[in-house]
Amino acid sequence: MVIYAPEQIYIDAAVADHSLTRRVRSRFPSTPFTMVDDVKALLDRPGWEKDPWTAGKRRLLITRHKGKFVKPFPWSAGCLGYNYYVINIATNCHYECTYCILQSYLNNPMMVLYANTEDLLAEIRERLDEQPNQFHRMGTGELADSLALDDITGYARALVPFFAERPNAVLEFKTKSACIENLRDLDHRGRTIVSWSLNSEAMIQREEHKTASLEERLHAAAACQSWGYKVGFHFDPLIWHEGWEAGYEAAVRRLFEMVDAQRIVWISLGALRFPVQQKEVIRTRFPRSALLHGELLPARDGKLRYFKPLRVAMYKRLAQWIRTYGSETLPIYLCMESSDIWTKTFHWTPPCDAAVTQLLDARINPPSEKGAYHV
Amino acid sequence: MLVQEIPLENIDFNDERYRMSYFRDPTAVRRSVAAVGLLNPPWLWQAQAGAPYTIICGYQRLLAGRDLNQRAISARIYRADDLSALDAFRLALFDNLAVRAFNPVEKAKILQRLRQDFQMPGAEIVSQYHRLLDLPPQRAVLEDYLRLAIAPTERQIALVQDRISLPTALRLTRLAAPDAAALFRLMTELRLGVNRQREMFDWLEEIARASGRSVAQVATQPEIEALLSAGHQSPGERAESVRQLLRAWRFPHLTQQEARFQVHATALCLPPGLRLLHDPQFEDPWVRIELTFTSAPELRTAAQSLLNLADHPALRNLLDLL
Repeated sequence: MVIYAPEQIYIDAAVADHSLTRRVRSRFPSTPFTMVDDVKALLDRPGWEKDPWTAGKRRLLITRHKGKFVKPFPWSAGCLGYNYYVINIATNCHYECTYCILQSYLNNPMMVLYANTEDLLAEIRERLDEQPNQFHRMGTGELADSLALDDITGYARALVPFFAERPNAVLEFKTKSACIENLRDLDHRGRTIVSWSLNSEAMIQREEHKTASLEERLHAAAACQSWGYKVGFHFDPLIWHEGWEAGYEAAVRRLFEMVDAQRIVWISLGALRFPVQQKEVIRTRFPRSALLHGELLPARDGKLRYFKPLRVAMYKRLAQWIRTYGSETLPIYLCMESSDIWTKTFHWTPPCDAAVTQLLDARINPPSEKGAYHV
Repeated sequence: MLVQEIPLENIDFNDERYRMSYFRDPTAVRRSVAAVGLLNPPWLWQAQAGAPYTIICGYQRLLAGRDLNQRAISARIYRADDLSALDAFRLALFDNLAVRAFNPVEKAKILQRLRQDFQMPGAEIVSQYHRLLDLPPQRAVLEDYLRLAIAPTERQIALVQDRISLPTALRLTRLAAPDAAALFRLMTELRLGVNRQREMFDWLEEIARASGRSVAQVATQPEIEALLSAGHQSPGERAESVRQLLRAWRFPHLTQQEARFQVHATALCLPPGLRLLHDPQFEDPWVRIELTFTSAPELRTAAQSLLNLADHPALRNLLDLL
């Protein structure tokens, strides 16, 4: 796992005295920094790097988030989804996953941290207070890895205690890191779920550059369990490759050797998918990646996905291994898939999004403690 | 700056440092020069007294004049003391920009001159010249165009003549020479449109990488060569045959599923006018029936056949594929 260290720091003058800014500057005292009055001009400045993404990630911008921090998760049309909100507290990620959708989604390649966490917390508080009987699941892992920079940002130390006091919400961190030190000793009260994206070790080595190894991720998960956190896992993206069965079976087996299955809240499965236009990015930035060798076909949502029988084959095998090595009762759900795929995989399907929500919420709020929340 | 009568033999036509026109049809210019001569004096540049003249503006017209055996022309003369080589180049560039759009090869040659002849840093070229040439201000774009400037002439001509698309031409420059040559041959022989070029490029690259072979090795497989030499087929039919072959190599599971679907559909013994369709990627689990008829009795017969389909044992096999 590569720990992030910027080569250049840009500080929006509007957040110059903010605690996050001070923390970053004291963490990297010898890194050159520039005070910026016009962030837009900085972002629009043409670059001269061979790979603007690689170069951009070496630059860290600390600024103020001006829009809404919290947004509904953008489910693809035709897929079964669930009630989930993304919290965009940072954008971009220094890990180099070949398939990362941020490469074709973000407009600028710089690493961006938002310093105005007080605005974030106020916005979440307002949303939760407006709907006191609605249970909210929120996560920070959409436009950035939730924990990869947490040793720098300390976001977890603000968010975990905040959610601990909110009876109608749960926070999910999603990460490929092992950066969990800030989670130790926090009074989380079961309102924070720490989850890891998992892959076979071969795919982590080949397609998830700079991330924590499978062993590091599972060690971190075990530590979080020992600190009382609920943990989740996302085998996502599943990558079809030579020897995938052996690789993924070994990963599942190792997961349950390291982590207590009874204290896993859920496991999701999702096969590789990305927008068609990202092919060019992958080809250019990661010429040695084997992602594009797969039998990927354009789907309705404009993304490339594996031919359906291949996806179903992977889902069925993964589900079987999870049942065999883990637990018969552990909730497994499919990410970004239709009812048809659910049925082919599990021989049943939730009838609607609300049913998926209910399935997952039951793991966080068992009926006895669930109270009056509507799903 | 002087206007002088200059013998054409004193002009160095091989010095193309300010040339802006490539692969343009000279017919109209020749016709004009033949009819009325050179209306505006071309601009020439001279490094020092007595040295041959280099053409700044009017390359096509002077070529036409030479071909028409003109001996001398009236020209504006710039000396190196008055106009630096780079300023002369910019003069030629802006003179052309004012009246026409450059083709991609001309853009490539302009960028190459700036980089090589004038040793201009790439960052400066990108920031100062890309927008002038209607190019994205990106280093990768500059590098693509610099490679295009030195691509084989037949490929540059194919690009200007629209026989290969610009994205294809640029992608070809990123390949090893044998791979680019094999792909170029395939695309020009099959006369593919823009989308088909991109599709074939993608498939060949992906098949090659997945199988550990070079693009050239895949593109020259005996199966492809056989299809290319199928003299009884039109170019369009040959292109479709090659496309289907590559598609089967690239998407083996999908094409096998399509074949199985056809086997089961055939087993249903559909009457004429009835056709079963599936989602092109088998992503959505449906079968669609297309019915073509020209009379009420035909419709009645087809409708009866349709009802019988529901009980046909082959239908279950077909539905199992979805």
